[in-house]
Amino acid sequence: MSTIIVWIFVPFGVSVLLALFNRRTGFTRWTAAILSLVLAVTAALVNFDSLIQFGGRAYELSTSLSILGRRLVLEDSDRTLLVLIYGLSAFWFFGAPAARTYRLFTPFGLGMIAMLVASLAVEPFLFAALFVEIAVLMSIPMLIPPGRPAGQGVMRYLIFQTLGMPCILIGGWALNATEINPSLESLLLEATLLLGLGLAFWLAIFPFYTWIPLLAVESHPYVVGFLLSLLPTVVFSLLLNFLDSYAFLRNSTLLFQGLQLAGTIMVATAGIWAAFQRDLSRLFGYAVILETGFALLALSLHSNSGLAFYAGGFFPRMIGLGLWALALSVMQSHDVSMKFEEEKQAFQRLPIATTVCLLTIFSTGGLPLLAGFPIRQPLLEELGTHSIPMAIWALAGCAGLMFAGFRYLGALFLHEPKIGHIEEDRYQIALLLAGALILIAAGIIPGPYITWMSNLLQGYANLF
Amino acid sequence: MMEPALSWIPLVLLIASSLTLLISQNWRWSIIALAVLYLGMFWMITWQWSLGLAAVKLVTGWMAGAVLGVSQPGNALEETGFPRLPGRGFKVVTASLIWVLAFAIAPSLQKFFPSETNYVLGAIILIGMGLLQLGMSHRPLRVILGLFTVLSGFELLYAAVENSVLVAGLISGVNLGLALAGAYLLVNPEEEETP
Repeated sequence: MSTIIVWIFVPFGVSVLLALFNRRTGFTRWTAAILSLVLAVTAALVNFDSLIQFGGRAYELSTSLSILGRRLVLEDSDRTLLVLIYGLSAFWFFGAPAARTYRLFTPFGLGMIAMLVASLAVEPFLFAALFVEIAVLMSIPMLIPPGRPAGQGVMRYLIFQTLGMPCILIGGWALNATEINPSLESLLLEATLLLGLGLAFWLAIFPFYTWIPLLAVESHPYVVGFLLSLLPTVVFSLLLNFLDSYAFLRNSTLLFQGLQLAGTIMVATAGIWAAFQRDLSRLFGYAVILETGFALLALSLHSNSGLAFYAGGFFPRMIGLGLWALALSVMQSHDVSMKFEEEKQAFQRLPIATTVCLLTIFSTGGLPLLAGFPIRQPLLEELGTHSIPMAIWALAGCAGLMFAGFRYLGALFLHEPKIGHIEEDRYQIALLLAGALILIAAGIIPGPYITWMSNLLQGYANLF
Repeated sequence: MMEPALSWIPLVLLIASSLTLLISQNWRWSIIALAVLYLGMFWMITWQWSLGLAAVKLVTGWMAGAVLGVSQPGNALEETGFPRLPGRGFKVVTASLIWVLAFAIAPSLQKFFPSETNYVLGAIILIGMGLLQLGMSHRPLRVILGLFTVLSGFELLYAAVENSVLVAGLISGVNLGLALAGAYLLVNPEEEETP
């Protein structure tokens, strides 16, 4: 038995089977959710380096598999990442029945996750770009439900993500070439620029983020949330791989200054545009941009604390985006408009979903006592010690999102709030309330999740 | 580096096919142009790789074209924004700028990519023409054909520096996946019922 078979081939094979039975949505959703949960729990409990006792026999778990001269490797140090990725996918797939996603979401979503895990396992890791691209292509049927034309957001997403792959592959080759043959040192700048460009395409870094708000409006909010939480998680891991592997990149002041500038622009512009939004879906898109900006800012600090903020920030980001996407999907499934000016009936009909939506906006903005605050506050404080103007712009971005939250609050309670018949079903209420409780608990007691998330950095021995 | 005999023929094939992909409003001509483009690319890659491995590119490209062809794109290439003749004229003028740019930068790129002048030239022209196509339209078939053009240019460059079988296989997988995604965008089968 091999970790590659269990965590890559099995989910991929199941996703193919689920695609064949895609019309049985109940079956596909629960199968994908249970399989993801089992894989996450197994990754958490099983030590890859020791024998596994099962049915009175001992089995050795091989951690690598050779394919066509290259290797796929999932070692014990990758367990935290596997728990995170499959835990996240379980979190999203269990929510799928409540979000009422389209029938292609779970089969293609599971296949996409298997490809993303393969991208983290392939050696040399530069070839990860190809697996990421295959994952992106698998996401297209999830984003455009059958029977509807493709919008501009989906096309831009496809273009930008596809253009990222050649940049990463050629940039990675150039970086390798300079390491092997120092006489090619002139390639270093080109390599850095190509890698930067590739990552900018993939992570939707300024100025390549225009597709996010468009996609958020065009596609199902839950599918967009799934995509925009999983894809950046894996791409950021690849970025850390690059930093871990190449001393030149780790020591490049230019790179970290670039990350800081891009992060600040993303946070500031996303927050400011969010302040003027009157559509919850677009607001969700801008919140995703703001979150990516903060992750870049955390990395740009070039310190251990910056890395801790980066890893710790995953948890509130995932919970926040997941809950927000679920709340939007619940509203969409009950034909409640996403426009602020048409929200007068929303609170009366869907009090839990609208309240949770507000809560996630404020958490993403960094309101105290919610999950986002314990990471945002020290991050901004440390950013201030590096550059006061950058910290002020980042703070302005947070303020913009909070302002949008207050505008939404105003829109909800424009009329006298009377709760009549609650339209959310029990499953939706249970998920929304559980998520909201986690959001609040993580804001009040952040220690445990910050400590656990720092395990994500275990596999990067050379970082800082 | 010595240029192989008749190395200008695949270059002409690449220029002609990428121009056809840019200006054609008939999907049949576009699919034929895509097939010719992959033929030219295959010809050039045989200068770097063994014939068997290079044939993977040709077969994949033709299969991608076949997948797009069977989805019967109909009028998926017709532009509403550009009037027919002036639109084509404009595209030819912009394409000629790409050719000039490619001829200008190919020699400097040759020091990074150790291959023949026409080879690097072909790769740059394909990347440029593909980007031009992507910048001019958001229609799904045009976007897919533009992405194929860009990727084939990249494949030429990458083949000069990397000859791993796994990478060749994965790039073929990406091409086929792109064709299937394109076919999905074009076919768009039936109305979805939300359960």
